[in-house]
Amino acid sequence: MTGPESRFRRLLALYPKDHREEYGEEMLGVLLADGRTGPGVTADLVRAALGARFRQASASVREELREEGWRHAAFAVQFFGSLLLLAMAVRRFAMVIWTMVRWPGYDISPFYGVDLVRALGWAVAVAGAVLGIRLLGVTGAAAGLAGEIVAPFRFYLDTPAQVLNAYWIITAAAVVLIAAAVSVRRAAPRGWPFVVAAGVVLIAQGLAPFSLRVPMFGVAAMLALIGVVRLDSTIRGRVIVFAVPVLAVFPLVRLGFGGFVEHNMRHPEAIALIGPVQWAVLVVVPAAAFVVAAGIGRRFRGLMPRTSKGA
Amino acid sequence: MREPTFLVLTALAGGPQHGYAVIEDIAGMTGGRVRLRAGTLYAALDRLRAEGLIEVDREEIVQSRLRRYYRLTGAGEQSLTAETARLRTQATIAERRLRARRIQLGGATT
Repeated sequence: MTGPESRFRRLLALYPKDHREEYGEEMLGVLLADGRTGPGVTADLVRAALGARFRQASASVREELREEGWRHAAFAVQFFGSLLLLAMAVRRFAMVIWTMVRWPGYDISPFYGVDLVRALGWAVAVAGAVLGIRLLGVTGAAAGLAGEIVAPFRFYLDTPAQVLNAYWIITAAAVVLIAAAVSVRRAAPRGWPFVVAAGVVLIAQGLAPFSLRVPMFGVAAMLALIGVVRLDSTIRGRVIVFAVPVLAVFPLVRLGFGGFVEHNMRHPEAIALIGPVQWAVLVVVPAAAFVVAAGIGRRFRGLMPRTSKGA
Repeated sequence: MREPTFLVLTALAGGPQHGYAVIEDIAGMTGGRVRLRAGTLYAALDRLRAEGLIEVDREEIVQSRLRRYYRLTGAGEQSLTAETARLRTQATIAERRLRARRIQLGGATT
């Protein structure tokens, strides 16, 4: 095997297996006949291989989301997600009002508009889920997501870390919007009273003394978890897969952006903004986490007996 | 339609060709301005096959390597015809405006 051939084979290994089987040998022949071997060829093959992988992954996600089991799970995600995000939005609004009551001179005007939009957005999304009106659910979730994005971006130029801190909630809002778009209406998912209770605790947590905030957040998380555990076993696994992109954000921000946040804290005179590659990582990692979790879930369901395999 | 796609369809409009012949044909058509790389070419061929605009004509083994010939389908011919008409319309408009501009500028300087 010649030097260029082994190099081209290594680069062609980046393509998905199906693509390699279909075009691998043919492409190798073209690459060798063409004779170009520079970095341009390498970059072209890497870009095309990543593009092929992305197309394959997005096609498989689209195919998955068309399955009945996913659409039923999406309804539970829409229902629970909208409720919890509404609770978070109300919590922040309640905190603002509480601040206004306690310190009347404190300027809270920057909070009004956006907080109102996202609270109303999530209220509409909950109404859409409860009434089973897709347009209402999607519109509310879209307004909620817009609010969740705009809220931290108001401070982006001064404190980019605010966007990173809120990124998990932006991801959660995006997941709920996607779920609302693909879900099919069913009866209220089992376990919803626990999620409502979790929402109430979250709102109260925002107004509680500092010493109680962490334990109360733990109680809310536990109640939400019980709500998920009580879901029908046929959709529970898929609901967890929907939550994986949100959970992936925490280690991503902590491990991947710790240095970035620290730099900005130490150098307030030279604030670094989030670069294009960092943005790409913030988008790709949660999406990839979903694809990987969906793949694991598919294998897991394949190993289960047919009676509990689910829709 | 992106330029590489248009050029691949144009190359295959002349008759079935294998991958390397498509690269050479396009380089010849464009006077060497566009010389597609293998990654770009096969991304376009794969997409065009999926869209039904081209199909495999035949396969042969040359020097123990697979060589596959591709040809334009009826849908591909229609798509290329529509794109050609669109480009011609735009080129005609551009040509007309450039001619008018030259006349205006000519009038202003004389």
